[in-house]
Amino acid sequence: MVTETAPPAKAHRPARHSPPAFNLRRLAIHCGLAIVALGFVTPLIIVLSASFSSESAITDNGYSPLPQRFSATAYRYVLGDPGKIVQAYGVSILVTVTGTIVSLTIMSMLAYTLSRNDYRLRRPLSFYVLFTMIFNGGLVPTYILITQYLHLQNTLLVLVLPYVVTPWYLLLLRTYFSQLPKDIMDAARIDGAGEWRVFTGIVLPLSKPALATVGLFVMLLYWNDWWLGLLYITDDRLAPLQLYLYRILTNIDYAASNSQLAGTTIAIPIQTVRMAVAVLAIGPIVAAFFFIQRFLIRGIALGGLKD
Amino acid sequence: MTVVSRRAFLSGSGKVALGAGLAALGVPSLAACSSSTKSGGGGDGVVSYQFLGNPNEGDAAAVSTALNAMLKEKGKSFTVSLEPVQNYTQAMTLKSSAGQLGDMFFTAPWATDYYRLAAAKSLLALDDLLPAHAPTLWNSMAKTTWDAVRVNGKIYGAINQQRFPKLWGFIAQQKLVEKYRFDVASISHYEELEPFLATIKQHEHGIVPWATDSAGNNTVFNPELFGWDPVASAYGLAVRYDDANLQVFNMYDTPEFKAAAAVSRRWHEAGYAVSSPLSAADAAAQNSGGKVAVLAGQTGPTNPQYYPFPTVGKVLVPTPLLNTDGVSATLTGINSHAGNPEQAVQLLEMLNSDRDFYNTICFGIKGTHWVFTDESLGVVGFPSGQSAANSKWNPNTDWVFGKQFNAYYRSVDDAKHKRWEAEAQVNRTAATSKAIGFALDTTPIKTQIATLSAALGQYRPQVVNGLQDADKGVSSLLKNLDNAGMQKVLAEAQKQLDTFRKSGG
Repeated sequence: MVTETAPPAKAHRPARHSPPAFNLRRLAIHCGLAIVALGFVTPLIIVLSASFSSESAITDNGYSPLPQRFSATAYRYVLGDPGKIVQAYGVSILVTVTGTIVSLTIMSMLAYTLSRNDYRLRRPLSFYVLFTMIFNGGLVPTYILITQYLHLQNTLLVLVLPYVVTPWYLLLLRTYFSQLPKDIMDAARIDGAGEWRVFTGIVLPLSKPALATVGLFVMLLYWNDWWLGLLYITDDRLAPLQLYLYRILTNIDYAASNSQLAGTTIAIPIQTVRMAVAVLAIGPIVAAFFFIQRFLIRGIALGGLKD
Repeated sequence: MTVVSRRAFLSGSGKVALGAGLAALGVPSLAACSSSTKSGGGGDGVVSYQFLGNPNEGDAAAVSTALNAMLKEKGKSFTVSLEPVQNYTQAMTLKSSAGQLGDMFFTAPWATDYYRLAAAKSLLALDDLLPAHAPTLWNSMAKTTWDAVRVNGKIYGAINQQRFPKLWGFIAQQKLVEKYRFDVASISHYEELEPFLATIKQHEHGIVPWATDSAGNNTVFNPELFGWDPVASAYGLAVRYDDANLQVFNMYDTPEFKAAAAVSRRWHEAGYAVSSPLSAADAAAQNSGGKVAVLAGQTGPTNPQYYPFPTVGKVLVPTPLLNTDGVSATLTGINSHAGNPEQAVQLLEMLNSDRDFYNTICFGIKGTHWVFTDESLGVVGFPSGQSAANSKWNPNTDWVFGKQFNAYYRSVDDAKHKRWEAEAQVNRTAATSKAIGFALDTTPIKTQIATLSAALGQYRPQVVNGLQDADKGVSSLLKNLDNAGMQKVLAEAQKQLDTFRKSGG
């Protein structure tokens, strides 16, 4: 039955509606892509499985895609003090959300003005931004500025402010803005829109792909950051997640390599904790990818082009 | 303020005072708030104390309060404020540049660079303060021991007493030693381990007989084994501990090193070690997972030790040495801007002489952070429901705070064998190196030091792990060290040693 009816029906249908023809070439391509995809996913799966394996199983047999001798000891160790980790998640989420919103707002406004040829301060401001891309004050002066003059140590602000404007993302946005058709903005002005209205009503909606792309980068920057916390946060309650996890890891490594010196007599699950920490660190940020993915591909291509 | 229209910034419109606009952008009010650091504290009766921190120190405030109650009981007029600092070396470097060092802080050549802080006079010279305000601490160690931490003739750090000599030897899993009736006590050289390693190789599948790591830390070669004082071990320089002339030599250019390389090579070829050594962290994980039978390393004078399974070890160093390296490993310094240095030194005295006070900082508050698991032996453990994962005060670093021999024990075996007394005995009977107090100043040879470190990092691990033929490996290592400036470093070290010797150091 299938062999009789299928060929004529296929011939009449427009090509794009027909199911993909089954042939060797397509199969080969799909297999190839499947292997590549597997290559990307396997490390993640192994990390996840290792984090749920028992330490002795890993020592005996190495890593594998399925948990061996299922155990949640690693998580119990890392989550030993659930209050602390919830607090750390809270700090990280708050900093990431606030940081992304503030950063996107400021960078888009700055990038838009820099994309306007008729703006008088374009050159000095561009210089100001580009200069910091090449030169910076160095670690110690920055530290002194932030702690002695701005008094930002042990505040949530110090986790947000230093990353608000990233020159590279600013340039991405500026390039994108400068490619928007000027005629639409002129039309809006003729209709009586002021600068602010043009920016919020025309420019921003047209730039969603670029904003989503840069937004995701900035979000990752904030989420993955432990450096600022390391430098400026001594109050444990304000430690972001990555810093908290980093400290757990350094502590374990320290205890493992100096067990005698430190007098430790407790077995610590080292390898599985490393993996559990990786899983916890990826955490909610993975979800963000699924939402932003569709903008992401277009955004990078668009912002990177210049005619 | 001048009102500036947004339109004024567009080039199409008329001339405007851009300067006014720029001024309106706001000169940051940085100048308004002058530097106000808490450096020193101004003698308000609070001694701030910074030390190597870890995540299990959430209760610093509560422990400070407990310590302060004890200080008050002893009639002291000051209080202490504990400030655990995580990522210590990095954080303290920044704090020292920013003038945020506490009144008192942990220091060592390997953490915070004791010599740099002393030379920069960030640390206070304690020569007069220690005998006057911390007599117990001062008298608890010989004068030659104190000499080890002198910089330009002055003492800048109080020594936190622990076992000083590096007791290199081997550590073997007790279970395997007992299973194969291996006579640990009879071993006096690494080579004599060979029959045991062969037995393990033959009968224990899944267990690696001999530990190695890619950095070359677990090796059968250590200068102290031959009575050499490694005056700059990171660059391979040593002098014989009893050499009055202080003749410096390259420890890799010796028959002893060649012999050790040959042993490593033989063991590697016999398959006693894994064919490609793991990174230090992974190797440590393997060790604590019980996958290695024997490893080289420092071991204590008492057995068994826990790794975390029971192990037995044997010290192979014939003459334990007191040298700069070992004695200066853990110090407590006082900030040269401390508001009241006398009080800080009195705190040092409390930490080093009052057992209850010291153990409160080491273990926390009794009942809250620790309980006696065996009070007669002085063994402590976590209260029920607590562990290393969730303890709020478990620094686990007794040697950061003071005399470790005053600490409670963490294991019954240590207590039964009176580990601290045995280690204190090692300190008392150790031979003092003629070079004690000498520390190489690397400023004149910075370039050579950098290239030398790189060359050692690149060529040394293969040789000590036996991955290369011993003769070929050693000669290639030596050639590369010479190319990296070994001769110049040796000459400079000798010059400094001669000056040190003449000054009667």
